[in-house]
Amino acid sequence: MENSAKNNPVEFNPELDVSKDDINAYLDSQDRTSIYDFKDDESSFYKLDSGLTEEIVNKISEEKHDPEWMHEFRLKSLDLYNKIPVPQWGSPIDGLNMDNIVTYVRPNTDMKASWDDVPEEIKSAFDRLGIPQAEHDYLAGVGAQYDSELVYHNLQESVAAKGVVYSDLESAMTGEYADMVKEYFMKLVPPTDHKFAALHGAVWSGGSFVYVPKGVTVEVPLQSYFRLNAKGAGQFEHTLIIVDEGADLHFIEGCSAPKWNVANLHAGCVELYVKKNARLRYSTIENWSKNMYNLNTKRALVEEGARMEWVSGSFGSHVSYLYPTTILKGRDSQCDYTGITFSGKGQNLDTGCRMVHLGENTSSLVTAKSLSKDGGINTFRSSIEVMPSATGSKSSVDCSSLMLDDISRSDTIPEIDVRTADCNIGHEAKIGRISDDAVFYLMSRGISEEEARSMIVSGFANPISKELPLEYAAEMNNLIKLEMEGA
Amino acid sequence: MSENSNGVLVNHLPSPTWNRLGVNRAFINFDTLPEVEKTFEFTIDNAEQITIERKNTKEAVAFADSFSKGIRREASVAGKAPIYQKQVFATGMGREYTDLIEKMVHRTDILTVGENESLADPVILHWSFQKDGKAASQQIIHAKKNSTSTFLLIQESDKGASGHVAIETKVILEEGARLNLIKVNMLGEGFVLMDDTAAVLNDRADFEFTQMILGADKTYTGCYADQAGESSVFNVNTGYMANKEHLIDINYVACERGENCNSKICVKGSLRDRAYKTFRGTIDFRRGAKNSVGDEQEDVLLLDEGVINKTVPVILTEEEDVDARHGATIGNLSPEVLFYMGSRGIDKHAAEMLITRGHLISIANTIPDEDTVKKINLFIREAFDSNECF
Repeated sequence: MENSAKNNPVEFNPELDVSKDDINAYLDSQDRTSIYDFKDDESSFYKLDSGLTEEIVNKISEEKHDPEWMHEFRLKSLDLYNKIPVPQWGSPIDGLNMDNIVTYVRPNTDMKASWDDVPEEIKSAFDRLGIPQAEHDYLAGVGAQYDSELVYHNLQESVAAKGVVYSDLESAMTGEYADMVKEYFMKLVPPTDHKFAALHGAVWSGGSFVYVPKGVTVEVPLQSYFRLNAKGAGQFEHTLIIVDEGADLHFIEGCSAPKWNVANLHAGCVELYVKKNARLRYSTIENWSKNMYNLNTKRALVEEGARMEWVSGSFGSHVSYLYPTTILKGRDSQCDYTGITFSGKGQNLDTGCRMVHLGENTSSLVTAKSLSKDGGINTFRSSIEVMPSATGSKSSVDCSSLMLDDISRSDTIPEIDVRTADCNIGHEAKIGRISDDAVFYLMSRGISEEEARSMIVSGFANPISKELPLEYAAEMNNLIKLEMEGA
Repeated sequence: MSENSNGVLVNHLPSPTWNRLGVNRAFINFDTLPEVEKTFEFTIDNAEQITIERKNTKEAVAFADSFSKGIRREASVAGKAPIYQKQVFATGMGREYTDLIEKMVHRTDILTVGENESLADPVILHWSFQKDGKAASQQIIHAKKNSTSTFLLIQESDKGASGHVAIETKVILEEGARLNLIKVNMLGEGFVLMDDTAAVLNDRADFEFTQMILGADKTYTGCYADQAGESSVFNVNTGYMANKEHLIDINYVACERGENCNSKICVKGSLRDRAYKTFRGTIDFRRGAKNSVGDEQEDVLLLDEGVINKTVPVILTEEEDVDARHGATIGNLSPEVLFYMGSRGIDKHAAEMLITRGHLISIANTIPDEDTVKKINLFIREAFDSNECF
């Protein structure tokens, strides 16, 4: 396996003198999944039996040395999971059988603070994904999770000196920040929320805890990367971020997995607290393998004058349910959601967002793009809820979808619920194909049809990629180019 | 309202969304329908232009179904949960309501417009409840090839009257037929109106559907247009107003199957007091609807703090070669408009009334019956006059 495309950006840089034939030769040499599709031997790893029982939940709790309250919390969540029905409104998930899912896989190492101490076979996986290099080049801290546990966690000393806390959640739960974790953990996404929130509450493992103290700006991003390697396993990491008053943070989340011929499951949970006048940007490039059921829950609570920004790229998974939710609680709080979803062969991606306006003069801006190709199915699902207390609020939703062939599908299912007269809500959506005129224009200037279509799609995705750090934008553009191969 | 009570589920969203939003369907609770004894029948004006045949409902339904049988009825879309309740002749309010109305009425009127005929005057079906009452009626409008016609269905009563009205109108548009179907609700404040419409459009058929929802305590209404033929057109123009604790629940679906189809759904309205409105509008492009266009737009004016507005503008697309769009604007009058009005001596309340009336009258003025337009004008004015706000 060669290095990832991210480590070879020169191959795709149109401004460099690389011939089209070279690029095509590179594209021919690998399919898209191969970039992330490498498998490591896990025979020495500790695994629980597949399925979901009280005994398994007890074992996970024991493995993780949970405090008593967490053990009880897990059991209550399991009870809820067994009671809550499977959702009937979205993409079909009948290929997911919890009896076949292994909920806990522990790598043969504990968490390290230096890549040199991480076992070679695991380090090699993250090397291929470019994580240590990225940490060296442009990140303030990195957490790397392999299956159910973090294997690496580090934060730059200069950032730690400002009082920023970035650790694995388990350590935070029993250390100095134990009370804070207990106060916030699954309060924003309670296990009662839906079936997979309950599942998460029962079997969560790994993830990150971030606390940015009042007034502190973290100049460069932190990143957590989640790699799920084990066949038929689930990953249930929990990310808890608290950005205190006046603080500022950009957090990046990445994820990938090799493709197996059985279902894998990701049911993570992200809880974000953005305090008064703080700002948090949460960027995700999701590229799970196409056997993955990605049933993830993300939610942010935004206080007075604070700002939440979601930047989301969804490329992988067999089925996705992903709708970052923002509760604009404080007056003058704001949220931007910028997302792109690319559905290819065998993918049924149901993505979107939810905005709940509670505070006065709150505002939300949603820009969503989606592309469907090779029989891929895209659904944009959203709700804008403006409560009676949210007087003076504004919201604008702009949703565009491109259909790249005649065997794919694209749906938009937005909902707007307004309960105050004093507001201004706008919604626009359009679905269509690549304009023949635009392709013809580009071809008349000597560009091949395939390249013209690829350029148009890149332009379509540009509002999203420009919101990402340069390296991630390049990765996203590479993913789009690979998806467009042969279109 | 519990869905376990005695009633029917109606107005199903073709592709459901999160249950907690409460928009996937509506429930009509029969236990809360006003108890009335007197039954009303409709009267009909300008009937001499058409053929009217009153048939046993079973036979009439079989007749309508014969025009719709060739259309494939999907049990699901994109592998999602069962969404379309299978019906041979798909309706806006859905199967449970159709089953109900077929039990309630024993005779169905088939109103036929002859081939190549162009009606000079609108055919007017009039339900006039002076006082409390109830009515149930099903009619089939059969517009034969290349015919042109206008049908106007009006329900009205005294202001304080109460009762319930259940109507279902099935429309068959043969090749090249043009039909303008107008439904006007000016019922009293104690009425519950259930009014469903379903249409099958063959090649080059043109179905203009206008609906004015002005009265009644609760209005449940739907319209499903199956654009089975090529180059068919389906245009909707709906105006509504609701105040007090009135409820309006709407479900429109344009299902574009043939090539070069066109649909446009325009809905405008205003809400006051504690009125509660849900609008579901779906444009559903099926594979084969090449070079088709669909557009839907809702403009909602919110005039009081207690209102609840739910808007669900859905587009479903399994055909690449289409142009689909939707939009919604929801809010109160902008400060710029209020300032402009104020500079001309019109205060905020009067400005709101003027804008609302403007929205509704622009639709009412397209109705080709002077008396009805006058009545609508009067109804709107009285509705505003009776509100302390104005």
